Amino acid sequence: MLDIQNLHASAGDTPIIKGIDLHIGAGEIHAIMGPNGSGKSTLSNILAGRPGYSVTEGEINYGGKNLLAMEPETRAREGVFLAFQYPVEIPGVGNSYFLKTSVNAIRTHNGLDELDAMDFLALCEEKMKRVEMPNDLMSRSINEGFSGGEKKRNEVLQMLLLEPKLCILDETDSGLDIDALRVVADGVNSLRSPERAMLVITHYQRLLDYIVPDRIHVLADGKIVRSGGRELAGELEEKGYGWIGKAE
Amino acid sequence: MKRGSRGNPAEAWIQAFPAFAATLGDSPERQAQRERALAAFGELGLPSTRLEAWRSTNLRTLEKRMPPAPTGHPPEAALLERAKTQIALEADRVGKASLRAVFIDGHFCPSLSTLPEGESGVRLLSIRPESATPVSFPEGYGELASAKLDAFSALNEAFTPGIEVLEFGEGCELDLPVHLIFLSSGDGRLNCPRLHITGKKQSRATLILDFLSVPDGENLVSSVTEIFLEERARLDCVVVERESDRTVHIANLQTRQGRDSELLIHTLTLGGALVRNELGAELADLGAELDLKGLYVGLGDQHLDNHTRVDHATPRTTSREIYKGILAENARGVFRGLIHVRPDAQKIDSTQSNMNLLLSPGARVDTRPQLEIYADDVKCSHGSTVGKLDEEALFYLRSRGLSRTQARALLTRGFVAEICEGLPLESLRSAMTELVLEKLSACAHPDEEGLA
Amino acid sequence: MTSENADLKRLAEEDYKYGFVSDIEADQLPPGLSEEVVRLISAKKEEPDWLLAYRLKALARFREMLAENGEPGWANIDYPAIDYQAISYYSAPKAQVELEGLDEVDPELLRTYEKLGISLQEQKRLSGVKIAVDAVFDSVSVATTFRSELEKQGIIFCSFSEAVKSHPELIRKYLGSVVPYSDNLFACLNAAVFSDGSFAYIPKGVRCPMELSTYFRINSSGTGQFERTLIVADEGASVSYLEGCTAPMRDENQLHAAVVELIALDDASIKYSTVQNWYPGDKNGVGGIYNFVTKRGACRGKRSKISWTQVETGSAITWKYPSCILQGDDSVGEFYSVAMTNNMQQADTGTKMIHIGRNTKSTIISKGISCGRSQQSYRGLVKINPKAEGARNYSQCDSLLLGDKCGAHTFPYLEVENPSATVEHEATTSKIGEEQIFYCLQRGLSEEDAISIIVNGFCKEVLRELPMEFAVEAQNLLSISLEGSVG
Ligand SMILES: Nc1ncnc2c1ncn2[C@@H]1O[C@H](COP(=O)(O)OP(=O)(O)O)[C@@H](O)[C@H]1O
Ligand SMILES: [Mg+2]
Repeated sequence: MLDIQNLHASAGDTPIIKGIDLHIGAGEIHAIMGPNGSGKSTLSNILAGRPGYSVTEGEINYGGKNLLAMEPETRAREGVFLAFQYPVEIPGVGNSYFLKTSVNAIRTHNGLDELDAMDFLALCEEKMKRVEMPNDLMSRSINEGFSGGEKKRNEVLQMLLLEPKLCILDETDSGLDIDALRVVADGVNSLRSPERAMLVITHYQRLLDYIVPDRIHVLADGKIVRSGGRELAGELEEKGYGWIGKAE
Repeated sequence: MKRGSRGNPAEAWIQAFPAFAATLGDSPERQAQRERALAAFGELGLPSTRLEAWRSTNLRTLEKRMPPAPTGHPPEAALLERAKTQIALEADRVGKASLRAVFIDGHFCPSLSTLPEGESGVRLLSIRPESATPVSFPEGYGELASAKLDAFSALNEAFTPGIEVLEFGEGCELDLPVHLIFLSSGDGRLNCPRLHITGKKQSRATLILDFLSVPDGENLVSSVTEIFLEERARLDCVVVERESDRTVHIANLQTRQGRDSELLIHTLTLGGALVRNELGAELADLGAELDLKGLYVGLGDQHLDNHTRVDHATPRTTSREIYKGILAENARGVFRGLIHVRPDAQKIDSTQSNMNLLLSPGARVDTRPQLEIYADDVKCSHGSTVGKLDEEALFYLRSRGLSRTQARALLTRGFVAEICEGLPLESLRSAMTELVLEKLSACAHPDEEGLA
Repeated sequence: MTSENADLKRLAEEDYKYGFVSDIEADQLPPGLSEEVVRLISAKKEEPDWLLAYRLKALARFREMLAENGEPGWANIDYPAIDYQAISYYSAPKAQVELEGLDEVDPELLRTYEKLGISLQEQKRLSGVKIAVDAVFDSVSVATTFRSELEKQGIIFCSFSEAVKSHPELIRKYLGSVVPYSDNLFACLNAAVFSDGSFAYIPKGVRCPMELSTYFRINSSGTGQFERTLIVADEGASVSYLEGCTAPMRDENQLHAAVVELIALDDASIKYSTVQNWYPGDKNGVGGIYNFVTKRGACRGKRSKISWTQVETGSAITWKYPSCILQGDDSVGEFYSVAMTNNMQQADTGTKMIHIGRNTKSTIISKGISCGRSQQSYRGLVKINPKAEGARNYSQCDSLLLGDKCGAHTFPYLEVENPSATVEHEATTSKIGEEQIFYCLQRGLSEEDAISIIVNGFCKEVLRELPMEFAVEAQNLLSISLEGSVG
């Protein structure tokens, strides 16, 4: 489903991603771990098409298409979803109005009818229960004045609503208490399906107790330095990231 | 000649005055008052950019093509007939009103207006020779908009066909808004509507002042509105300016508030070639509260200038002010907001902010928030920002599947929400939001860079 | 404020510390402004013809401007018209003829500077830190220290008059290139009659190894001070420059109309710090300096940076707007200011940031403290020209009021002509926090200490920009200037 080949990318003149190869098949969950500053967010931003980064080498193939040639909204409509590490606050724009616009933009793209206000509300209510999100968050502006946990839940709620094909979660677990973490993990697990691929970025092994990945990759200084099964997480937990460099 | 004024290009107006006055048939006192105002205007002349207050707004275009003085004749039947559909549309936008009055070129048009029957608490009277019940001169008239000091107030006083006096009676609580429509006929002449509003003790009302012109009409509008609020009165006033892009509008709105009164003024400027809003608010007694909200949206070559002056004349008064501007294409926005706290006016709470979005390379904005404070026990702040739509936010929305255009519209909607959502009537809230978005959708956005 | 502050009031009565007069014989021109006076000044300094011609042009323009418009009327200050014929435009300590070394400096003069806390003896370093000092006494520079050490690195630091002789090409190239003589009335007057000042040139790639500083002192009565400072940082050079000023107590108003020009080429940086403590006049507003100064820096080069830091506590009237013209792409301008006014002082001060190059950035932090019956205004212009893609400005202007007879005013002008610019301005005005004072009192501080630390805290963002030696002096100055302000 996602095929990254020899990816090199920079922000401005600074090279950040220095040669990544990654293949994620449908139905698989991959985790990326790595120290702060290793380029995890940069990779997810590039997948989502955030302006400001330039890909200097390599290719990304998504569902048989050249991902890098697509506009960010086209990627979203084609099923790429990024749960942001730091979701932006947008004052004055109602959360529910925004979500409805988003759901309908994607439905239209997929040849489905737009949801009317009633249907949307019903759908929303169901998903909101799933992430235990209070109702009033829908009537407030996007992420404005949300606590850290509320922002993350809002990201997961959006993911549940949009039912993407490729879910990228950028440190969705950090800053969450254990209950919130379980809510987030439940949400993610409910989306597990043979047609869907997931890329879970995390700094801690903790999340992987709840979302069990098929493969784990360790990113350091813009490169994948280790890949392995789920046992790698335990190893990392024990020894920290320090040993990675030496192991190479 | 006073420093800062330029010659007197208005010679033609002065010449035309006797003929204008003759058609009105005013009382000798009123006639003398007009003449004094005209003389003052002759002294003051049109303000030049050398005056600090006019630094960013140049009236030279006006000087080159001075519109002729008004004739003093009421609008003809054909014009009234033509205006009907336009008025109906505007009436629809607002919905039911407790009083709806239409003025064309400053002349009250009974056939287009709906006045309340019986006792409703609100009265509209005209001081003009032909009015059936001549009323005495309103208290405070001319005290806030001084014909001695301000050129456009003087011009208005000399050339207004009549003074419209709107009074909210003591203790009255109106459920429905009062809707006044000022239509410029586009006859190319100077047009000077004059309004005098009093909110008596404990009255509560919502007032909409709609400034319109016939499509494509050319006008110079010099409007003057004075508002007096008595003790514990509350007025929620919405000023909407949507005149043609060949209209120059100098709008002077002056207010004075009594004890514990509450005044909200929303100023929405969408139309006009050059619009200058001169808003002066005096918080004249303890506990008075003022809330100013403004939105200006400029496209093409529009020049939209908002000057506000909040005068905290007494202790324990509060003011909040938010003005937002969106400028695209070659439009220019100007904001100058002065908060003035007089000596010994203690316990003042005052905030002001001005935010601007520039959407095209040719757009510009000058903003001058100012604090002038002569008392110490105060909490005053102001802030100004100028920027473009937030790139982060745009990307966030696009990553959720919205197109660039949708994302822009949504953010713009968010930007104006703070002003539009604060409007007093549901009908106005949606109508104004739509008008703003509709206007902006007509402007070409320069294509921003996609993914590198 | 309330009357609980009797203590502070008592403590308050300290006099202006630098108000003494030195008894030094001076060579002083009689009062009056004329072509003859300008020629005389130029002749005394043995100036080349082009400089005399420049002065005369400026004098002619000054006369025109004065006749046309009088003094600048837009500032929020109030003073009787200045009689330019009543001022003496040149005053120099007599003994000053071609000094070979400090030993030959009039000992009374050295003592004057010692009293001011400025040592002109190189061995007597201030707090162990090297600072090269150019001392300007009335109209002329009397001594410049550490010159030879600086020369080793190719740094030129000397009096302006000397530079005219030794480096005429540099002076001719840069004089008036940032502040044209016709810029404003006072700049015009300065260009006509300036007597001395400091010149610094930092060559390519050199980081100046010590702080450079000029110490200005007005001594003689009936004179004005019209000095000129020019600092050029060549490509990749950097320098930090300090300026301090004092004057005796006199009940006349003396005019100080200086011009400072800074030029930063590619990758150069100039940091200019001022602690201005001219005599402010007495409690009733008698006497004091009129400080009408034009300071402007041009960031000519790419990635160049000019930073102004000022602590203004003195002068009867202050009128100054240290500015940056950000011409080079990616250049940076900064303005950090604390202004404190007490008694009858008036200050109208601020900055201009003119963004011309791409991705230029400016920061303005202004803190005003008004006490007594003083009036203070911040006035600042941020202008983003149409070509200044990606320009950014952030301004923060806060005013603190101590006492109910003073005024604090804020007049920013933001003019933005490029849609990619981000400009943010914030300002607040409030009274000193009674809860904060109470909190301090409850923790055992005296009221005056409480106010002093609160004011210092209020100014912290600016004070921390000052070089160490100056920061201490500035904090003390603020405390002294505060005295008598509460009660
Ligand atoms: N837009 C950018 N401009 C410059 N440097 C960037 C930018 N984005 C990320 N970086 C740098 O790239 C490196 C990797 O950052 P990031 O991808 O956020 O790491 P992680 O998510 O693994 O903590 C960091 O050193 C960061 O400072
Ligand atoms: Mg990250």
